Amino acid sequence: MDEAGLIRAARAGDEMAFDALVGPLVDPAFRLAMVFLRDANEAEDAVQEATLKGWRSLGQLRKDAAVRPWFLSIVANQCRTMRRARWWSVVRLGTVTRTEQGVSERLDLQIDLDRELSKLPATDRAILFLFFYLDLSLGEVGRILGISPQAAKSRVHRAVTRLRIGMVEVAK
Amino acid sequence: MSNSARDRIAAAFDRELGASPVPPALRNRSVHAAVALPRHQPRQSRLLGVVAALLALAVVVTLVVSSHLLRTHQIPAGSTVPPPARGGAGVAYDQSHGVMVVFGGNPALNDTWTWDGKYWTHQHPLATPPALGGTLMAYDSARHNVLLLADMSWAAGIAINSVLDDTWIWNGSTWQDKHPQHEPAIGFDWQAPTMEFDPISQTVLLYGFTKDYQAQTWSWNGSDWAQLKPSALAQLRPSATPTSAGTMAFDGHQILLLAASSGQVGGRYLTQTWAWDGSNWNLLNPKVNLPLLGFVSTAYDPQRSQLVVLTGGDTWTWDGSSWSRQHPALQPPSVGYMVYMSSLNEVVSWGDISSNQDNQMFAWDGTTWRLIEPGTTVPPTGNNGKGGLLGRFTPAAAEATIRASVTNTRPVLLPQSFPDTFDAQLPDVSPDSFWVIYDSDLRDKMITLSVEVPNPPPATGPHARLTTVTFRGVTAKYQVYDTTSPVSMRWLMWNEPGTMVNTISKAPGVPYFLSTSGLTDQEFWQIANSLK
Repeated sequence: MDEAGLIRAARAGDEMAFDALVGPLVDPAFRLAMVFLRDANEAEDAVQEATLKGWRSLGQLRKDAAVRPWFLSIVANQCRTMRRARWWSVVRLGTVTRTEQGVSERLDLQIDLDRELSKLPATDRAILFLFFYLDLSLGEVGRILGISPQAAKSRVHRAVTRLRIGMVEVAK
Repeated sequence: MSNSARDRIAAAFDRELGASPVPPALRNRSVHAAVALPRHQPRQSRLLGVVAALLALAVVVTLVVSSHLLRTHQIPAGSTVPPPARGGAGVAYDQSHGVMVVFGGNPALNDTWTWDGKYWTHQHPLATPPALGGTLMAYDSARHNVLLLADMSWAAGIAINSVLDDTWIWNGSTWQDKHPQHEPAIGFDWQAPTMEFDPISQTVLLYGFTKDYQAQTWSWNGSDWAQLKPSALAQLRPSATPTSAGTMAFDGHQILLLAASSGQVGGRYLTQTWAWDGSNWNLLNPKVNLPLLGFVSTAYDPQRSQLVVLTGGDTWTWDGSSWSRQHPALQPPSVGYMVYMSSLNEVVSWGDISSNQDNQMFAWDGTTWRLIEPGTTVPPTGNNGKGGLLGRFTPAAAEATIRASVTNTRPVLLPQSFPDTFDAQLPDVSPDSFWVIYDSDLRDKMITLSVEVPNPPPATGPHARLTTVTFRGVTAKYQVYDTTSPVSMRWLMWNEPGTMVNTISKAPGVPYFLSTSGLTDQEFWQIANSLK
């Protein structure tokens, strides 16, 4: 069954069709939520809540609409809503790199890039993730973040510029 | 962007995300939980339901009207039951008709409701705006109508950002699309604009940011929008304009803008109060400032000459020169849509501006809130099923809750000594860990303590200081963000010797994180050394 057929079936209440539509998107959705929230627990919550919202709003999804940008946009909106009052982020087991390990002493360019990427605001991180990691078109990136493709292009450019500026500063 | 740069960025994300793999059961859990919940009925059965409901309603209405006519009493049309809960709606008090007007909201609503102080009426105007997101509404006292502005539209169930290109007015019975010649270039995705009527200029003011984050102020004269440029002198000032859109409010004399500070002020982030002088925003310096706020709602109470501000968990008032935190016996659980109702002589808060979890109604009598309509949707008291607790506690009550809840981790350390009067919030409590926030009475001092592996932002300023200290017999990291500010934000991070059933750190022990803002070094260590 093609995507339009799956949408029709899911709108009629077919759970397997909904799973076929949204299930494969849970992985990229979780990663997108991680990029936004930097917290695995909150990212899980965001994906679950977004899936629920997706199920509830299926009736408003056009039959010919692309499901991926539709669902990831719900995830992005959910992440924006879930930003909490914490001014610090939290590292979960497996990612523990305490400050005493001397981040500032690492000179390797790869580590610099990782660090600069982690320092970017969530909006810039999200746009780089969608464009470079998920390899989405500017049109899809725009639809997910609710901006035009032209705005998406300029945001990508701005985020890359910030990344490079940061890396230059690090190199100095 | 070369392919190698693309690959490097993708690889950097790979390394970062590789540390947090997608939980294997997430797909099943998410999809099954979603489909387990009821969705709207198919249109056909919904139509049948509507027809049946209308027939039943007709019978009931006939009986009720007959009964009332016999008693020669009349009741206004409508119901006391508030409309369904929704975030993102446009709400304003329509002074010329004496009603609160509600339009739309999430998700993709475009219904219009009015409330006269007792009865809600679902309006069915001849013309109505489409489902809009990012809706702003303000009563235009000069033209006696309600102005509506929106910067989002809904497509396929999702909000699509755009510029502010929808300007409508409500005349008490219908909506009219104004099609102004100029439209505000406001459209920054991450900060909503704010709008309020300015009685001095007799125009509606709009403040927000362009897509490339340039602050702009616009005014509506009833037929068109015009951008207001700050004076040349004002542009030379170091803090010429607020750097966040914040919330606009009328305080009985002037238009205020409550906006987050762009950086730390006196060692903490706070909400600054700006005043509009007709051409510029001027930063005020009240004796007491508002803390950094999340969602916020405001209404001016002319009866008591005070601006009432509802925030997540607190009520504040502005008397024209300073802020006071109120201590009401009852506090609404949500930040609702607020208006001053002339017929009640009270400020009323309805629902929740940010969710569809609450449609209760509360009234402010100058001292406390009281529930005036219970609504049909009451917000959950838990924190997304994770064991967290909403609301405010005494430190002793918070301690009792934490010690009873955290059963898999030892030791559980909590402060026994505070430098001031504090109350507590518990955003997260589970058998393994906790996160407690203590706030001072004026919310200008904050202490957070948590069991977690934090990743606080690096302090890069010239006056930042990171030191290694011995604390409770172990090595700890102590960070002060600005040593020139006596009450700078600061934190202490250490691994307490102890055990966790479900470890969250590769290092042995229990990872603790203590941070403060608005407290001195001495006060910080008073708290740290009292942990028990």
